[in-house]
Amino acid sequence: MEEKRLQELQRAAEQEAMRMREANPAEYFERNLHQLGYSDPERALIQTLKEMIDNSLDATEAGGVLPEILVSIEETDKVITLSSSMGKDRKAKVFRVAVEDNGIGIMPDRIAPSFGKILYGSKLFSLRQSRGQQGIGISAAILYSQLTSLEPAEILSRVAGSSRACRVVLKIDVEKNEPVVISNEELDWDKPHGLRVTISIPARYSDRLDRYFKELAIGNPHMSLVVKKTLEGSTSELRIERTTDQVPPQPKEMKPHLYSVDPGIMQRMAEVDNCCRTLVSFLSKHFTMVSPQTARRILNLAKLPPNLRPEHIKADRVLEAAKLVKLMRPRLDVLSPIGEENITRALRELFPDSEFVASVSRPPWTYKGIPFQVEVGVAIGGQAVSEYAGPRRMSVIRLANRVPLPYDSSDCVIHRTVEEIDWPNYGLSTDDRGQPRVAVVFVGSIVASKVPYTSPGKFSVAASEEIRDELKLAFQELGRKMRVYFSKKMKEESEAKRFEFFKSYYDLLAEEVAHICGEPLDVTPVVSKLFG
Amino acid sequence: MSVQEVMAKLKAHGSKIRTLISAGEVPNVVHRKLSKSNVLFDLDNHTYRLGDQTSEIRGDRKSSLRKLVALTFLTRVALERMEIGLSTTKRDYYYLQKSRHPLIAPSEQAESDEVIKIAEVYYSVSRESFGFVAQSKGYLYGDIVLREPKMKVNCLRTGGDGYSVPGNVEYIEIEEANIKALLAIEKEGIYRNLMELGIPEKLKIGIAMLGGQPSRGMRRMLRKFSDFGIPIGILTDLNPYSLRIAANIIYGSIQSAHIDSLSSIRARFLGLEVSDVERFFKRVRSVVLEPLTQEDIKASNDNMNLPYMQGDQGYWLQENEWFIKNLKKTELEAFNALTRHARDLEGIYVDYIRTKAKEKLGIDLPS
Repeated sequence: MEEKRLQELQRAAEQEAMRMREANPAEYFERNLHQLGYSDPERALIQTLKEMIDNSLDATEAGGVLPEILVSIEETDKVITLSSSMGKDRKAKVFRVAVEDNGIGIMPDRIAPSFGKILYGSKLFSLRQSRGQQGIGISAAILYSQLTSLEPAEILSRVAGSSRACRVVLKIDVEKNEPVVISNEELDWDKPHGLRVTISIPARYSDRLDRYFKELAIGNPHMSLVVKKTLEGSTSELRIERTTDQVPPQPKEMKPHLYSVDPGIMQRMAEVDNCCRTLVSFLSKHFTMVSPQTARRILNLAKLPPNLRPEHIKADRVLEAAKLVKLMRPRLDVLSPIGEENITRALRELFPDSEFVASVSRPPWTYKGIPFQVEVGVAIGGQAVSEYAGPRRMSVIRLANRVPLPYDSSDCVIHRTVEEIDWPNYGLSTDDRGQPRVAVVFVGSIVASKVPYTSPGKFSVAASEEIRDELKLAFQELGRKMRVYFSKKMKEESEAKRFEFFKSYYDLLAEEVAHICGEPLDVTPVVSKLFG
Repeated sequence: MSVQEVMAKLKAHGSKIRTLISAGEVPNVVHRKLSKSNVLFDLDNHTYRLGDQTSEIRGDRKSSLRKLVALTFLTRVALERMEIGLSTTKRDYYYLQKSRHPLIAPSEQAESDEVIKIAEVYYSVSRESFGFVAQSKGYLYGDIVLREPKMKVNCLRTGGDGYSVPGNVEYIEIEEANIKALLAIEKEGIYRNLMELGIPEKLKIGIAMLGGQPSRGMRRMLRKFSDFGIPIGILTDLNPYSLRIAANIIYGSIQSAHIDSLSSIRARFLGLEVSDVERFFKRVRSVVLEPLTQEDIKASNDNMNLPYMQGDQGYWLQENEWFIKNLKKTELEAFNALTRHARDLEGIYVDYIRTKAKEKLGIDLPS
């Protein structure tokens, strides 16, 4: 009996082993596209455009040019039926979505891997503030496209200095995580440099997309954006003009800090390192704020010989030891924040009739050895704010590395911090349902060499103590500005009320005196004396 | 003060406000303070009057601006109505102010009454002077000729109960008074009996029927007779309330301390006084004295705190203490208890009035 049971178990293990094979990231994400934001046609459209525009903005910033981005959203007649995992709506129309920029372009031989391979890109291992950072985004959009519409992606690229542009049509071989190039040709393009990506996806258009574009303008006041929409046969255009001609300085790349690196990553870095012969040089060369002396102290505490070859590192012991050594925080001047003035200007542009607009930039700080900087803003009152804030009369625009986060706000540290602040304390009075009496839109922005997202879809910023504290300080400082405004407003209102009071009594008095004296009486002299 | 003078006074207020406003100055009105704390009893002159405290209505204060507008509105209304000879009751004015503008609409009549009172103290005239009349109450009988604005009245030939004293007597003048004294009588019964018995003619006196507490019109009328040189004698019941009636005529009241034309300080209380019980009612003493009610007792106790009690060498105090001590009272109708035959009453009245007029007013009435 016992023996038979053991045999069964053995057979099961053997069968399982036969089924086992390596899964690559493309396969993984193909099955988990919802993690990346492609959970329904409406979100898929925003997510796709977000990935494409993120790349365009990074590409223009890398060249130091003012971004000019053309977006084209075209509803086709093609209707496809989605699998149930793609959301509740079984049927969706196919949209042809194109984003064109004036960025640096991509060298012809790099086009295919950049778009046809998951986890490929220049930003993957670097620690630098950028919109994309994982090498997943655009490839995931292409995966979604080929999985649903069965259409390939088309990439048109021209690098400055080359005489012609390069057009690549490709799909992704999911099993191999490799691009399948369908066509590759040279052609003329009147743009001196830039990139255009076109893909076809099942999608549904919603106003949230327009909101997304507007929010994008807050994080990127130097961007000019033209969105051409063709919906149900009619074409319309949304134009967002830049509010500054200042190209933000290129964020600096930084080496990882020992407080922020995971042991696995460190282990791999050491394994592939082929320039250092000892652990001391490995630590001091590839990590920031580690001098050879500091490296020796760390290795001493980790009980590892300083001359050990890097591939023999015990990353977990090194990182434990590093915690005991007080390492200096990394340099903070590597970031490129939006800037108080730019936020204020963008909010004024977005909410032209708001009563009050303000913003606060905190100085940069670090979480787990990664520099970050928090900026916040607010627009209060007026029609535009009221429409934006919706029935709850309060809304939070969240930005991470200058890009809006359109979904999943409830678990985002920015949203949570706004909710934690006792706004009535700052003059924003609330009604009996706890809603503000005047509509308000907050902006919370984080720029960081690496933003801690809660998931690969980049919907929410994870709560780290340092980021939460900085956000709190920023919103409190903003609150103090709001309080000054509200108390001034209240004073003005009561002054205006007082004036009304006196004016109406004096008008009445004048009528009576005029009756008695038989001559009209002008009360302006005394009323203007009473109110300066 | 003539109608024209009062109107000029009211118009001057309009001009004053006009001048100030035109010059960019904050308009203001200063008047003697009307609160009870500013009412004092002048022991030298034996009268209630306002003290030196003042109130200011300022056009730069929210609360008093409303009063200023209301006062000016009242002024306009008074002028308009005086112009065409139209009188105004307090209730009339309440509705006028209420309908003028929500900003000055009174929530109850007490509020518009207050404005009237401010006008009285500010203009230093009674409201009757600007046509704001009191209720008419009381009669007058005797060889008297009055000149009303529209006609002359002989108070012997009015018929009925005599000359009915109107709500506003301000502009009535005494043309002739062929009387040696005027008796102000609390009760109607004795007043009518005196008329019926021809006693006013016989004794050459005038009689006035108060009907309880005298109206403002009656008090003003009595003052006019006093100013005309006619001695005033007061006849009331013997009880704690009647004592107040007499005091009201002589000294005025706290309520009207701001108007001095309502008191007649030369008027004298003839009776019934405590000593009358022994002197005139001894025979029927036990019959006519009735017990004080709880209210009477309370009134007599309250009387002890009234400022005029200290005046007249403690006379009032003594009178009042009698009530507290004896818990008894009687009234004017008690004279009837002295008669055995209807014809007795005339002699009893004549005797009492002549005796008291001699004692209290120092005049000899013909027999």
